[in-house]
Amino acid sequence: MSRWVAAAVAAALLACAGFGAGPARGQGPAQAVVAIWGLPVRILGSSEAVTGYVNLLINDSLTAVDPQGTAVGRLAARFPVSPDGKTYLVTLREAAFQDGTPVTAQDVKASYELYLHPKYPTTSPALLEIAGASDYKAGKAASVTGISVVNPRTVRFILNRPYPFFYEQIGTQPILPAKALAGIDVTRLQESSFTRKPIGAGPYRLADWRERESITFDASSGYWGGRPALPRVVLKLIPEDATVIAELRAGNIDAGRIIPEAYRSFQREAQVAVLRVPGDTFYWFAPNFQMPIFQDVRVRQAMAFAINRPEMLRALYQGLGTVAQSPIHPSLWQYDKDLKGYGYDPARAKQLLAEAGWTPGPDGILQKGGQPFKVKYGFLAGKDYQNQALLIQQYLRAVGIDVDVQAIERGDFFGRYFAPGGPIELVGIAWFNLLFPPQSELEDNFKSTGSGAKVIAYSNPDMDKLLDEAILTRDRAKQRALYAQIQQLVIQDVPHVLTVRPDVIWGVRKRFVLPGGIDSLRGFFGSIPRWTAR
Amino acid sequence: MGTYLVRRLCALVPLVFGITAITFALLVLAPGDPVLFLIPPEQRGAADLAQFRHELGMDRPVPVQYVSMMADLFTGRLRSFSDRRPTTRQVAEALPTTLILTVTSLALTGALALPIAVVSAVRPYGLVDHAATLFSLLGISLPTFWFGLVLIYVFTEHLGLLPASGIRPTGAAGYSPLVIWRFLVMPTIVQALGILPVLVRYARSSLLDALGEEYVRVARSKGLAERTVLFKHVARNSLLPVLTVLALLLPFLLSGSVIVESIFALPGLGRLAVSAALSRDYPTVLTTTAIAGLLVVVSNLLADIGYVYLDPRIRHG
Repeated sequence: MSRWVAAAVAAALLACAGFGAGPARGQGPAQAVVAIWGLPVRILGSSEAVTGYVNLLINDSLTAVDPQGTAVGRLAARFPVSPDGKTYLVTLREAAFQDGTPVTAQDVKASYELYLHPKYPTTSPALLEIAGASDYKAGKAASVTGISVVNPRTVRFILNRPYPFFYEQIGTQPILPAKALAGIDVTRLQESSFTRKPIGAGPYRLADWRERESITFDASSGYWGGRPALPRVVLKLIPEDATVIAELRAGNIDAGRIIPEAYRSFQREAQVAVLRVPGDTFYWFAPNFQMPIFQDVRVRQAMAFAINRPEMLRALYQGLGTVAQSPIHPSLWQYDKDLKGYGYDPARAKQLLAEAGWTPGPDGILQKGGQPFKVKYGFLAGKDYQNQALLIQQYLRAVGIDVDVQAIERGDFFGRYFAPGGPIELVGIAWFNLLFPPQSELEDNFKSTGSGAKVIAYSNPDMDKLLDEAILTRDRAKQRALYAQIQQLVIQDVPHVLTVRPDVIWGVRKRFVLPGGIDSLRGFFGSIPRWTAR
Repeated sequence: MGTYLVRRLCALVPLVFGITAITFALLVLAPGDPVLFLIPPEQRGAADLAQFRHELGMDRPVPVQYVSMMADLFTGRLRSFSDRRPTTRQVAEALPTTLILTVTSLALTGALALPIAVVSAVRPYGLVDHAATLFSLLGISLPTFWFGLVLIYVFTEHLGLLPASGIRPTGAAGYSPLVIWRFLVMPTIVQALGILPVLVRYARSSLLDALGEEYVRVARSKGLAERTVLFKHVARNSLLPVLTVLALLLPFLLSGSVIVESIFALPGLGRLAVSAALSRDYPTVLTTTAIAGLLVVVSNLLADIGYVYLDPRIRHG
């Protein structure tokens, strides 16, 4: 037996020696390891939010949108528009891709022709505003007539109509090297090596990509905005919230998202700074407008009055967040700061329901013509949606609406349930990424032709008219007034019952200095090239 | 033995086809359209769904889809729906982590289970036996995710001794034991805890049975040392049922534990399979089930072969 004892002691000693052999924490080269909850599946042809964050590091675009929603030039040094609002003459600044080749007008044209290719899977609808784009997308033209190379540094865009969101919606597409795109078979886009080893004109070069593990980025020395201060950034996939917290405290990672429950304890953390930004996700539920009971606006308003939003925030997010009254992100200029939304007023809700002809039955459930007010509330299976659904069920029950909640698995939800003609009665869901001009998302959800509006069969001619007018004016003051009216109409007509917008909380090790003005999730990832190490 | 092996290996083929066919049928029957999964709702107008369906081969009859996917799988040309990379490559990336974790947790289990079982069996209802019973009960009752989080809380968050996420340091490549062992400590303990109690209980009762046999009394009456009786005669005979249990537990480890992989952010087979199933990535699901099925069948086969070496009376033929 003594041999075994000796072996055990030796193993223990070895283990102790090993504990000290790890890399010294908090020191070493100035690389930042940022924990992320999911890695992109694809870099090109994907609309995932995480792909957008990776794009912020590796790619650059002609123009970008600052946190307030105002357009700024990126690869475009000058971008004047003709008086009729249809022709944009974009002059490129001196910039280079990560392989050292300069960014030229030819690259711009090739990139847009990729995004408009008949076989490109995720063409942004705004790109079809470019003259000839629809024909090209339909396979009826050999090139996009509205994009022409004037000289290597200048490219001209011609639009079908004076679309005011050129800089915000069209100019924000990543510019990729034409040489690399030439060899890509777009029908087999995801199989091309470029999508795994992309080359862009952004501040970081994608150096290493490990599935379900991490993506490593190295600073690009040729970046037009100057080489980023941190030579290396790693996005490391950690699915479990509690693991992120432990790793952040132990110093094994440098930044990570913190659940609201841990916010207070992290404020006392000596090594970790806490950054709280308004979330890009806001939650809502909507009725199916094909059901007669929801066609009465008083019923929808009653539901909006019945929800105790501050309590939802306290109960589910430790009060870290805001009550959502507008579908527009509060950081954008289109957001109406004077908007009066719904407070918690169950008495008013009951009164509105009574006016609509609903009277309490013996069991407290409202009735009308002998029919009880019973509805199914379906939601995408997941912690947040479920917790909210349970609270909403309770709030609606309190005013006499009997709600049966039902979790629906993701595949079923998007494949069958959340589709036009789907079996929706009430549906609970969320919006993401509200940092672009809100126009396209408003159209998608509230214009009668929008895919989201079709799902709940919502159609309001006044809303359609306001959304059309907003797109036809380039006068900022007029636009602002129109968006204020749109937000007011969302409140009055209640196509969606908006609930809460939880904050996003980041913990960042204090040896990193972050730039100011980060006010969204997207802004956080976009700020990484401007991080410095102490 | 040779013909036995050949027969068993031949039986593998219909088995793997059976497993994958049932899996595929379940996938097709489950609600959710893989094509709609790949294209977000707001872009469905611009994208040509029928074209997309055709490119994925989803416009063909279901049996044809299955047969062509299986043919592609065996030639290594099968590509995932979501990232369009060969599924064999996805599995090749995930398999090392799962295999390493299986080996380490099996080793830890073996190293602990046998001594504990021997002491418990030699002195039944003694202090060690009672402690082992209590521990087994605890081990079976503790939820894996909770135990994993407790370990992380103590060893990462408070003591700062061990990393809690990943299989290797960021930037490191390969699976050198010197580099990855710190990352394996906690997942190994959690995995082992799931199977250790079962193994200890089986080994103990099987040892107790063997200790009551007549040949033990004979061996003792011959004047053999207790150690020789125990390790030469009893242990070998009582290992047989333990091996069976082990063969049944192995699939649990090999298919990759989603919970352990999620808590410790390990890029293993379990998470690959589950995320593929959730996103209706038929090719990846088929490949992971085929690989997992194959591993299970092969490990059962190894256990059967192991019987022959432990008990020469067993002859396959």
